[in-house]
Amino acid sequence: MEFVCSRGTLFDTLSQVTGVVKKNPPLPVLSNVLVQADADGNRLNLTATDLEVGVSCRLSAEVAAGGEVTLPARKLTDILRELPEAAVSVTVEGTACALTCENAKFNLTGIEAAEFPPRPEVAPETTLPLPADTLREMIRQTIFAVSYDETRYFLNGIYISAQGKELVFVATDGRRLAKSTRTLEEGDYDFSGIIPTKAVSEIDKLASKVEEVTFSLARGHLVADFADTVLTATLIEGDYPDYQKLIPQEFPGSATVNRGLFADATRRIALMADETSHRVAYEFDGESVRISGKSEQGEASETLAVNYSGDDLRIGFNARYINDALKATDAPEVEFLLLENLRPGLIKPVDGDDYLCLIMPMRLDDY
Amino acid sequence: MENATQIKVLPALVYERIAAGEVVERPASVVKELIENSLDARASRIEIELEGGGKALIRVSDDGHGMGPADARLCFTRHATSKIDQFEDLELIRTYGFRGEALPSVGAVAKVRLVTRFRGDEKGSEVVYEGGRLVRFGEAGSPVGTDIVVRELFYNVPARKKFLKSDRAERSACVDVASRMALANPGTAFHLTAGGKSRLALPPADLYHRCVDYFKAGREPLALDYTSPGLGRITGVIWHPNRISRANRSGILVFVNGRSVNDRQVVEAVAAACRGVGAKDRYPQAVVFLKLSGRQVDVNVHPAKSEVKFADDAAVRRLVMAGVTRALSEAGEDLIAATPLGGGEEPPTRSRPRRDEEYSREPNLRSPREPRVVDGGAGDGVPFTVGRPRGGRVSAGAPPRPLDKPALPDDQLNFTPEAARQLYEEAPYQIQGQFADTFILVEHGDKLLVIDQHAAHERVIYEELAAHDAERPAPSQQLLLPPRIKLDPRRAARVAELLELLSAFGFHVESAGADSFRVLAVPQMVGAGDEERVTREILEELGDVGEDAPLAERRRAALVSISCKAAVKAGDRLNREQLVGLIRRLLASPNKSTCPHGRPTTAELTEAQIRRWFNR
Ligand SMILES: Nc1ncnc2c1ncn2[C@@H]1O[C@H](COP(=O)(O)OP(=O)(O)OP(=O)(O)O)[C@@H](O)[C@H]1O
Ligand SMILES: [Mg+2]
Repeated sequence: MEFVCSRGTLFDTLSQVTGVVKKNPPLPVLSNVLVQADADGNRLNLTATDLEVGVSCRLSAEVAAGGEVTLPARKLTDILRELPEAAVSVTVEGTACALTCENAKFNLTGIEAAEFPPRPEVAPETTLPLPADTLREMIRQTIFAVSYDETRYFLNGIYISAQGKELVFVATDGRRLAKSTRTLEEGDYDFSGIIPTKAVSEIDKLASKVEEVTFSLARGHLVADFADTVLTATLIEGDYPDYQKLIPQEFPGSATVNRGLFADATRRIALMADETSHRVAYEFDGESVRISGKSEQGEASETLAVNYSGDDLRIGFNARYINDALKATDAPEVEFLLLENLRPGLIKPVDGDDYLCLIMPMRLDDY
Repeated sequence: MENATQIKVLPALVYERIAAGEVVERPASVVKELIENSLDARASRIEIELEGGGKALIRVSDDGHGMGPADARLCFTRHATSKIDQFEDLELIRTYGFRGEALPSVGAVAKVRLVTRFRGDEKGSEVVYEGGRLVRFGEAGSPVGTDIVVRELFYNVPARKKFLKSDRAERSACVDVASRMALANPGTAFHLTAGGKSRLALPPADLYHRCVDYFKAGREPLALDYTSPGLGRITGVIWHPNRISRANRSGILVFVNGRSVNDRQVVEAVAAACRGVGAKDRYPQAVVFLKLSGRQVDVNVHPAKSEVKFADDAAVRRLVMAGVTRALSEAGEDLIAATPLGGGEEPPTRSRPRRDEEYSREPNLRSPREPRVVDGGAGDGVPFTVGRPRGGRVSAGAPPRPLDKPALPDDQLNFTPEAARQLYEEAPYQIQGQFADTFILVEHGDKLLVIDQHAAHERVIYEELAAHDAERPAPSQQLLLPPRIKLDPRRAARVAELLELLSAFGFHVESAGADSFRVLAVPQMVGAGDEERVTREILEELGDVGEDAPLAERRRAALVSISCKAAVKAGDRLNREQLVGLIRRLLASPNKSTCPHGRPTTAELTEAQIRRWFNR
C-alpha cells in the first residue's frame, strides 16, 4: 500500500474516527485505526471501533498502490499533530509502515487488517433523513437524563422511536425523564430502538460538521451517515420502560415562569441547600413561588412572581434536576406543571410540545 | 413395630438427669418442637400454617409414621417419649426429641387438637387437650401422619401472653426456626404459610441445593465436606467471601447433629478460616453441619436445645477450620491475606496495600482498572484524574459489566467548587491525589496522610445521617421507576419491621407482598441508578439483625449498613472536586479517625520516615 495526502486532511479525518477508540480496549487491534487505500478511486478509508460504536471516514488521496493495514491510532494522531503542513507519504509493507513528511521519517508497526473486526452487515429497514441541527437539539434535550447504571443497562442510552411522522427521543435515569418530539415533514415510520449514550455523543459531535444526517435503522443496529463519515452502532437490546405511562395526563397545578429568572433563582437558592441533596423547596400560591433552601450553614429564600393556577402546593426538588431541565430548552417562558408533593412535576415550553422533562420530587418531611 | 408400647414413661432418675426447663416460650418454640416431632416421625413433607404470628394458630401437619391410638393418648403425658429408654441412650441421641416434654408443655398452655394415624392402622385418632386437660379422645378419619393445631397459645397464662411481641415479630421468629429446620433437613419438603401467604416453599433437595434455594443467592456456594476420623465430619456450603460476604457473623448458620445451635466457637472457627480471604471485617455466609459422634457432644446444656457442649472444643475447631480452608483452597481463589496498610515503622515495601476488592461483592465482574487519565492540559503537575465521558453499555445476555468505567456521577459525592477552593485556602491540608483509586493522599504539615476513601466516606455518611430521626428524616428523592426487591423469607420478615427506621434515613421502602419490597425514595447520596443495588444490600444486611435487638442497636445497624453501602468503594475513581469534598467533610466529622466499623480511615507517614528510606 502506498499513498500521499495532505497532513491536514489526514489529521482531521483521523480525529473524526478516533473518538471511539478506548484507552485500554479488550483487543489490541481496537487501539488501531484501519487504513484502507483504494487505488482506483484514489480514496482512503479510515475506520475505528470499540465493537459497539464504529466510525468510518473517507478522504481523497493519491493512491499509488491499494491495500489495507491497521495502525496505532493514538501514535498516528500524535505524529500527524507534530508534522508540518505538507504532503505526507505512507508506504506499507505487510504491517511495517513508513511515513515521511518533508525530511521527517517515521517507521511504525501495525497489525494486520484481517484482525480488525468487520463492520456489521446492516440491511437497513428504515431510512430517516434529519437536519443536523434538529438532531443535535433533540440530543441536547434528552442526553442529560440518561442513566449510567449498569444494572438497568437499557436506560444507558436514548430511546428513539419513529411512528408515522412523529419522531421521539426519550431518556431517563429513574429520577427524571426527558422527552423530545418532532413531527417529520414526510414519511410513515414504524421503528424504535435504544442508542447507547456513547454512540449518541459521537453522533452529536459528527453532526456538528454537517447539514444533514441520515439514519438507517435495522434490527439491532443504527447506521448514521454524515456525508463522508459513517457511524455504526449496536443498539441496546432490552425493553425500554413504557414512558408514556409514566407521564401523568392531568396536572391540576400549573405555573408559567420566566425560564431565565426561574433558573437563576434556583441556582442562587441552591447555594444554601443541603450539599448532598441540593434540595430546594418551591411553594406555589396564587401569584408567586417562594423558593427556599436550607442546610447547616444557613438558609435562603426568594420569591418570584409567577402565574400559578391550582391548589397551594409545597414541593421539593433537586435543584440540579430543575436546572438541567431548564437548560435543555431555549423557550423564554416555561410551564411548570404539578400534581402533589410526592408526585412528579413537569417542565415544558409554554408554547410547543416538542420538549418536556418530568422530575420526581424530593420529600420535605422534615422541612 | 408394636405401636402400643412405643411410648414409655421415663424413670424418674432419667428425668432428673435431663436439664429441665420451659420448653414453650413463644410461638416459635412451639413451631420448633412440632417440626422436630414431624422429622422424628420421618416425614417427607411438612406443612406449617400460622395465624396471628402463631399466637392465634399454629398448625403443623406431616406425612410421617403417625401414632396409634395408645400413643396418641399418651403423648401429652409428661416424659412420655418413644425415643429413649435408659439414660445410656442419651449419649447416642439420633432423634430431635428425647425428653417427652414438648407436647405436654404445649398442651398445658394452649388449646391443642391432634389428629393422627399410624402407618398400617385402619383408623386414626383425635386428641384434644386444653390447658393441660384431656378434653376429647376418640377415633377420627385421618391420612397417615400427624396433624396438630395449636390455638390461643398462653390463653390461660396471661403473664406469659403479655410478653409476646407483635404478630410480625413472632411470625418472623417462627419463619426463622422453620428455615433452620428446613436447611438441616433438605430431603423433607417444607411449606410455611402465614396469614395465608406463602413464606417458605422448599421442595426436597440435596443439602447443597436446599441452601441455594433457601438463600436464593445466585452465586454458587462451595461445598464443604471433610471428615476427621474418630471425631466427625463437617458438611454444608460456604459462599466464597470474595463473592458474598456479610458485615457480621449472622450469615454463618451452624448445625450440630442436625440441630441448629448457637455456638460461638464454631462460628468463630468458620470466620477464622476465612480471615484474610476477601474483605477485612467481613464475614462469610455459610451453612455448616457438624456430625459428631454422640459422645463428642452434650446437647442438653440448654433446655431449648440451641446450645451444645463439645467434649473436645479444640478438636471441633480444628475440624471446622480444616473443612472450610479446604473448600476455599479448592476453589482456587486468591487466599493470600491483604497486607494491612503499614504501621508507621515498617519498611515501605512491606506496607504495599493490595488494591483488594475490599468492598466489592463481585470482584470478578469489575472491569480491570484502567490507567488513570492525567489532566495533561492543566499543567499544574497535580495528578488529578479528570472526568471522562461516561458511557458504556452492556450487551444483553452477558452479565452487566462496565465497558468503560465511568467516573462517579457527580451527585454521589457532592461539593461545590466553592468548597474546593476553601479547602485549598485552609491549607494545612493539601490533597495530592488519589492512589490506586482507593486511597487519597493528603499532605499535612510534615506528614503524608493516606486516607481510605471508602472508610472515610462511610464515616462522613454515618455522621451526617445520624443527625436524622423519624421527626427529622434525611432528604430523600422520590423515584420514577421504583425498583422491586425480593428477599428470602427469613430476611423479608425481619426487614418488614425495620421499614420505618429506614425512612428516617431517607430510604422509603414499602412492602410489596411475597417477600418483596418497593423502593419509593432514597437519599440523594445514592447515585442515580444505584438505588436497587444499594437498597438491596442494606435490606439484606438488616434482614440479619437480631429481631430481639433493642431499637438503638437496630438503628445503629441500619446506619452502619447504609454508610457502608452508599459510600464510594475501593476502586472508584474520584475527580478533584469529589476528593476535596470528601476530605473536607471528613475533617468536619467527629470520630474521623475510624469508620463506623472501627477500621482506621487514615494512616500517616512522616517526612522523616520517608527520608530514612532513601538514607537521607
Ligand atoms: N408428628 C408426630 N408423628 C409421630 N409421633 C409423634 C409426633 N409428635 C409426637 N409424637 C410422639 O409423641 C411423643 C411425645 O412427643 P414430644 O415432643 O412431647 O416428646 P419427644 O419428641 O419425645 O421429646 P422432646 O420433648 O425432647 O421433644 C414422641 O416421642 C412421639 O412418639
Ligand atoms: Mg419432641
